[in-house]
Amino acid sequence: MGILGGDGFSLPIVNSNPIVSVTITVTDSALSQMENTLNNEEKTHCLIISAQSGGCSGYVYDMKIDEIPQDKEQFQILFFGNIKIFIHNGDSHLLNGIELDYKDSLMGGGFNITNPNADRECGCGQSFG
Amino acid sequence: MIDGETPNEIYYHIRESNFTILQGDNSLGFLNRITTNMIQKKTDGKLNLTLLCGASGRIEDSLEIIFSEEGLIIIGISTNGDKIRQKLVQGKKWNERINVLNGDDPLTFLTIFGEQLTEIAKSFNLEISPDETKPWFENDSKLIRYNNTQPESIDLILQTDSLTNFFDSEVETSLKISSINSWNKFCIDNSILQYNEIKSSPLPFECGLGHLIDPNKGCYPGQEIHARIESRGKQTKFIAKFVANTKLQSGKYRSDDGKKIMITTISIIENKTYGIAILPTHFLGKNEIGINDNILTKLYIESF
Repeated sequence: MGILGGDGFSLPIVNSNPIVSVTITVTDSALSQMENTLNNEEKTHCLIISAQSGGCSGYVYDMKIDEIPQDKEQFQILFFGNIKIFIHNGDSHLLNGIELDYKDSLMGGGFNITNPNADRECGCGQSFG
Repeated sequence: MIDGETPNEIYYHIRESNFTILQGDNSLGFLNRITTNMIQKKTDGKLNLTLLCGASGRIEDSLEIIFSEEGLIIIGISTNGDKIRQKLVQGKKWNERINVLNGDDPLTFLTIFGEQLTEIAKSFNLEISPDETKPWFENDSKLIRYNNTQPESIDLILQTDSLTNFFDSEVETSLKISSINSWNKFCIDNSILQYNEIKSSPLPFECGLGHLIDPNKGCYPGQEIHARIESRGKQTKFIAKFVANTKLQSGKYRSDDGKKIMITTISIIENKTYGIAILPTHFLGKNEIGINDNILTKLYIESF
């Protein structure tokens, strides 16, 4: 039996991220680009925007097109036309109020997130804190 | 000898620490996203030490990581484990199956120190090699480690509920609780940093922890600041041990030439003060510093 084992010995799980009601802004160029990327799979797929630890400032953004998650109740779903954006409740306090933009440029182009909750951002634009 | 204590006695001290346990897939990768160096399970018995820093590069906690079969045990020296755990929980990605557990109250870290620890070591099935610090090993619901300190010491992590039984056992009844003065002297002599040294949130280079920064690791919170300090040589403070010829308290002082000095840990023995201080680099290479506009109070500096 190890240090973390034994009868009646258990440790409390920490899970205290506040859940806030999320609103986000998506620019026309970002919406148009998402429509192109989803390529008529809007019914089965969605865009998941999330945050995780890392980067120079503490957190980094992640965005991915994925099948609609089965545990929908864990997410807040935002509709933009036919497009569904999923934000997990655990990330809601970090991502509430973000603006999603898309720049069609060979240098420095792509999706870009502006976050009003961020005290600081890394030069690369992917990390915030 | 320290006032009120007897030679050849064996003392224990319950250490200020916080415990966080990570369980689940890729706990190590998850932790490595925010630490200042890349932690990996060492097979040579060396310690897994790292830092958590804020985006400003300042230390939030100094950590030791223990690889247990039941998860990663993270031991911090700060008194605010909740802040560290909050940071970990907030950094979990939505599809990461990782549990962050709070071990602050259920676990206790104590250190036994003194001369002749052979009998105590035997009671833990611990092999003593006087020339080397041993890695942690798990025995009977305890984590145990022998340290080649002066005097020698044994670190123990055990379930808090088992403390009473532990001190009732045959060998351990002989242990005496250490005074803070005596414990501080042990830490000063062996260059063991405590929360006192990091509670003012110094930069790692300022408190002797620059070796826990890996400049090749890539991004982690504080990395930009650390890289700038390293490349431009902007370190402004350093840590040192000292002996003063009068009794001093920990706190802020001014040198005779007006520089700020922070005394973080002290131990008073026979009207002398032994301690650890964070000093301006202005004093690097100097052997003594006058403080408090008093020519009679001098800090005699020793390397850390």
